[in-house]
Parts: sequence; C-alpha cells; structure tokens
Amino acid sequence: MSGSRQKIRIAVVGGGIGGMALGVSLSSLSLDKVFQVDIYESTAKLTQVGAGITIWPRGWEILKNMGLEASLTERFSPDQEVPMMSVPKVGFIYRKSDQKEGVPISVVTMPGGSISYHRADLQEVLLKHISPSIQFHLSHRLTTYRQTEKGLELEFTNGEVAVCDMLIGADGINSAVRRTFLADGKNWAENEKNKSGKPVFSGTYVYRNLIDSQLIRRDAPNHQALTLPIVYCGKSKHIVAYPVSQGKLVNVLLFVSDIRQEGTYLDGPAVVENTKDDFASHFKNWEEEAHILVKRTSKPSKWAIQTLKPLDVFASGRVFLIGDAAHAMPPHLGNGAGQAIEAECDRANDAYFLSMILAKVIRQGEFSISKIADVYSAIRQPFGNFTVAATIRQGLLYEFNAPGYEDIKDGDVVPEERLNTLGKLIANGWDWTFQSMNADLQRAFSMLYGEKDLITAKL
Amino acid sequence: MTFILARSWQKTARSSSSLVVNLSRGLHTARSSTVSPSTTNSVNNDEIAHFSKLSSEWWDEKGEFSFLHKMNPVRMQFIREKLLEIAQEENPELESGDMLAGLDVLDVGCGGGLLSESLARMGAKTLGIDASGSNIAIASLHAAADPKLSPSSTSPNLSYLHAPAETLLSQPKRYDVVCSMEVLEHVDNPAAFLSTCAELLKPGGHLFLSTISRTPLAYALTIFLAEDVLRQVSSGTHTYSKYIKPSELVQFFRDYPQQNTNDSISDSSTPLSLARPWISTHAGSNYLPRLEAELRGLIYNPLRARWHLAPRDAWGALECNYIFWVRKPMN
Repeated sequence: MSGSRQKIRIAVVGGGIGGMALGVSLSSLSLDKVFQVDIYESTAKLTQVGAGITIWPRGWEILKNMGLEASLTERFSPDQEVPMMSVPKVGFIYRKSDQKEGVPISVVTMPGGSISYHRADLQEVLLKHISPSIQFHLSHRLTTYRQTEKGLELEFTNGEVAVCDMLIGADGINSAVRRTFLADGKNWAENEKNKSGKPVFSGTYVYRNLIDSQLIRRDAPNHQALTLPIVYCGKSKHIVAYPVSQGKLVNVLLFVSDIRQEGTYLDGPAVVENTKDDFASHFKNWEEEAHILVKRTSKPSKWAIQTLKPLDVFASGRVFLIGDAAHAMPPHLGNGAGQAIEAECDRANDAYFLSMILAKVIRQGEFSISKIADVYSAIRQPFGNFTVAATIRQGLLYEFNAPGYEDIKDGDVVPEERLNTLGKLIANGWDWTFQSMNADLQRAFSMLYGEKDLITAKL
Repeated sequence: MTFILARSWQKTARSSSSLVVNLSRGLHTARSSTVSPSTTNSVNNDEIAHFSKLSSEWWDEKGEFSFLHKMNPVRMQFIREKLLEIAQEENPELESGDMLAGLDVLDVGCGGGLLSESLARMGAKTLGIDASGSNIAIASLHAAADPKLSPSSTSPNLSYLHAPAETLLSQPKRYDVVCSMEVLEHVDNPAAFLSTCAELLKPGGHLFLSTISRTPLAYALTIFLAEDVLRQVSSGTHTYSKYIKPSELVQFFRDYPQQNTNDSISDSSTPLSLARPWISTHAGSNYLPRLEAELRGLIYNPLRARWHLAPRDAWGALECNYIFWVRKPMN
C-alpha cells in the first residue's frame, strides 16, 4: 500500500493527572506513532490544586509500568524508598475522639506503606515523559461535541473547533464531555443536559489547611500526627491529619457531615477559600489531641465533597470517560478527589488500562473504536462504581453513621467490642479498592480476542 | 444506593469476624456453622433452603441460573480436554475420542442436573447427588423427559440421589471422576468436603472443582453487581467469606492426605505415609505439574454473555471464577 497512513486522532479533554497519565502511557507504548494525540486544557496554565499526593504500592506499580520509576525515585527525599507490598507499614491510626478521653479504634497496616510527593513534582515528572508529538492546547474549554461525517467535532469557548476520531473525557467531576455524552442521542433541553450526570453533594464539607509542625510541637511535642497518618472519628465528623514535606507540615482536614443533605444538589460554590465558618464549634468536646489540631487551623479552605451517581456506561461509540469524569468519589480511601488525600492514582489506572487495550488492538490490526469502548466500559464500570460505593461506606464508618452504628450519638461511650468490630470493618474497607489491573486486562483481552470456538458437545 | 449498600454490608458485618480470620486461615479449620453441630456434615441448612426455594428455576436458561447454564459448555470443555491429555500421556497413539464413555462419574451438589445431564450424554455412568430434595426432584423430572437419559431406558447412564456426599463414604463404590461445580463456596466445612470428595475417588481418579476466589474483584462482580445492583441472582446467593482462593485449594492438596503421626506405626523403617501428597511442589511454588493439578480461569464476557476458559498460566485470570483439576495418586 502506498501513500501516508492517516493517523487516528485522539482528543483528550482535561490536562490534569488523568489526561497527563494518558499522554505518558500512550508515549511509553509508542502509540504516539499511530495516534495523533491532542490534550485540551481549560486553564491558561497547567497547575495542580492541593499540596500532596500519596502513592500506595499498587499506584506505584502502575506508574512504574508507565516508565516513571526512575524519574520518581530521583525525587525521593533521604528517608523515602520504593513502597513494597511485602513490607507491612502503618497505614492509618483510628481513634474515637468525640469525648474528653479519646479511645483507640484500630491501627490499620498497609503492605508497603506509601510515598508522598508534592503535586508539582509529580506533574513535572509526567510532563517530562509525554512525547513531544503529543500537543497541549491550553485555554481550551470544551462546550460540546457532535458527530459529523468527518468524525467528532469539538467546540471550545474560545471559538475554536477540532475534529477527532476518539474522544477521551479526563475533565474531572464537572466533566463537559460527560454532560454531552449522557445527553447524546436523547433530545433533552439544555438544563436537563446539565442535571443528568451532575455531581451530587455527599452532605460532607471538609476544611483543609496545612499547619506548621512547630506550632503543634509547642503544644504537644509527641503529637501522633507529626509522624503518622491519623484519623480522629466522631459522630458525623472526623479529622484526618498526616505529615507532609518531610515532616515540616501537617496536612489537617476537618470533615463535617449532615447526612440529610446527602444526595442533594449543591446550592453554593463547591470551594470557598479562607472560610469564615465557625468550624471549631463542631469539635468543642473532643479530646485534647484533636483539639490541638483544630486550634491551629486558621482560614482553611472549605470544600464540598461531591460524588457522581453511578453511570451505566463509561464509554460508548467514540467517547470514553476516565477518572473523576466517570466515577468521582469521596477521599475516604485516599483515592479520587482533586481535594484532600490522593492515593492510588486512580485516574492513572484508567489511563493505563485504556492505553494497554489500545496497544493490544493496534497490534492485532483490526481497530474498532466502538468495540474498545464496549470492552473498556464492561470492565471498568462495575469496579469503578463499586469503589465509589465502598468509599462512601468507609466515610460512614468513620463517622458512626454506617448501618449497625447509627444508634451511636455524639460523645457516647461505646463498648470495646463494638469498636473492635468497627476497626476491622475499617481495615477491610481498604482492601476493597485494591483492584487487580492484571485481572482487568486479562478479562479485556479475552473479551476482544479470546473467543475460541467452544467444543460442541456430541449428542 | 445507600439501602442496597446497607444490605450487603450488613451481611459482611455479620461475618466480619470470619472475614478477618480468613486472612490467616487455612482450609483445615472448620468455619462456625449457625446450624448443625455435627462437624462431619458439610451441609449448611440455610444454603440448602435458599437453593431449594429456587428449584423450579434451574432449567430456565434465562432465569436465576442463566450463568450456570452458560458456564456448562466451558466446564465440559475443560473436563474433556484434561481427561484426553492424561489418557494420551498413558497412550500416545490415542486420538480424541469419547473420553467419558463408560466412566463412573459422581456429580456432587448436582443441583438441577445441568452438569450431570451433559456428562451422561457424553457416555459417563453418572450419579448426581444433592443435599436438597427439591433439587433432586427437579433433576429427575427433567431427565425423565429425555428417553435417552430416563432411568427407565435400557441402560440408564444417569441416576440421582438425595444425599450429602459424606453418606456415600460408607458404601464401597468409588469413582473415576468426581465433579463439584460451584459448590465449594456454599459449604460450611470446605476441608471436610474436599476430604470426602477425595476419598470417593478411585486411585488415579480425577477431581474437578469450580468455585470463586476471595478477592475484591470477585466481590464486586459476583455479589455487589450481580446480587445488589443488577439483581441478576437472588440476594444471599453468595457469601464473600466462603470464597476460596486458588492458592488455598492447591495448599490443601499439597498437605493431603494428612501425615498422620498418631498412627500406631512406630517402626521407623515403615514409610511415614503410604500415600504421597496429591501435589508434589512445595508451598512457595506457583508451578503446578500438569499431570498432577491444573488451575484455569473462567472469564465471563458480558458483551456476548458467554464464558471463556482462560489459557493456561494466563496471569490475572484466577481473580474471580476458576476451575481446578487434581488427580488422585495411583497405588
């Protein structure tokens, strides 16, 4: 065959961790030679929201598979090392703190512990590993897309138009791609388009701030949060604290919930900087150790935690949703958000998985985008939605609102046996979200190519 | 959504203590049963009642048991492939043939007879047993509708018995092949159950088991999705803490038969045990000698609503449904 092969055009909407991870993944598989990849980002500059990002062993595996290990280990601080599954380390300490004298609930160990990076560092590493043939287009905010005979036509607020063969929505919880994706094929009015797939409020606000460790040390030189991640639990509230930046700072998150508001649509803005809320009043009768952290919290930013109602389908036709665009969840298991603790690099998981599928399909020669979409959705959707449910459940456990614990009221003394069971459930909760990427890939490959002719039974 | 979650998590909460124990538990300790105090009885009355209620649905290919119907061809495929492989090992000239013809086969936990009928049609002299009387009734009824399978035919290849496996131990008959498909995850005492199945085999006999592994993925697919969200199967069909990992199954047969140090044999010249372990590799090894044992993933393709037997040694294939074969040593 003569003539130049037209590259298949992939448009990625969203230049956050998910979009960048996809760029890295495609580059590491040399797929940028087959695909013309364009990443569209709504902001004028690539920045990261939030301070730290925590990577657990399974997340590390994915980043390693994407070829990032060397660059990441380069940026280790002296005390850091590669998280290894074989070495159990303390993951989190849990305490019941809504009483004068706090009570331990459990200590959850995690195989391999975790590594924290400053987000800007991670972004730098990702960008370094994206092939130069992959184009970034900043200040491009997607309004909508439509199917034409040339392919998918993308419309941006700056008036520009682009055409692609395959569209990947990596644009987070307020995804514009998802909005159109859900409305696609149905004649819904514009405001209905906005409602369906709109993020729902979880009922929980989180107040976030970084506290100088010196301040905490003054009150309590041996405060646990200076060295270990710790969760202080109470009725409809909890506090998460963990050291960052080589122990120079403590990241403190105060969660306050009103379960009646769960499932509603948020009225005001999702984020308020320097809130004037009287957050301290929620923790009045809490134990001293927790009090110290609340006391030192000043002008925190206030975030409403939102989630997505589970979608039936994560991809169809030419359109794929990855990361928060498909399955936004609260941060209670350290994954998801763009908010508090980000562990596991969940969005990297989706990106990696999709790239591996594309690589396999390209090698086999027969390329059907809609078939890939069906496989991607069939594999990722069940576990993605399950993880959201499991994470929501985890938050309920932390706040004594889970089934079996609703009777517990603020400040109640709870018998040790009940707390032990709670501790075990919390520990188990962490297991749920450890998803086997190998199993997913195996299932995907067998769905694409494993259709051996079954031996028909002789009758 | 919260309600659905509440139900499934309540089940988990109830069995949470066994969930934690599971992490370090081998198959040798009996699980606590809420019903029968008899430790040799692997039957859980709650489980039996659950499946008896669904008896009439067995042969509705689109109903409650559609998954099992769809799984049947793949199980049969594996059974025939493995029997052929072993037969060819002993007789290299052998061409593919009726591997099951004339063999004595026991189907433990036969349910409505899905597998038993397939085995009988392939020429095996098949006995299907089940602890639920209503299952046996349905199975017998369905078989009676086919003149080739009916017990009144000239040479009945298929018969059914309402009995738990343990009751067959006291009888002399032993089998060339014992199958137990999607049963292990429902019994209370898996170690006792496996021992019973093992003992019912002739030396050199074949044991085929299919079950579900104990992983978050399996939970997500078989319980969370299938039961709670999509309602494809009745709630309570599966209990996560009863799922068995492939490695646990393999370890059981590494240790089986138990080296019995309480034997009256005190003579040091006598071999420690007259029977060798069924699987000869040591505990750290992932390798299974293909003439001793094999594990294969069973992968469901929701797009085609079909099951697929994963290739040998396919990584990541054993995280949900899988099938296991092991051979009883000769002598």
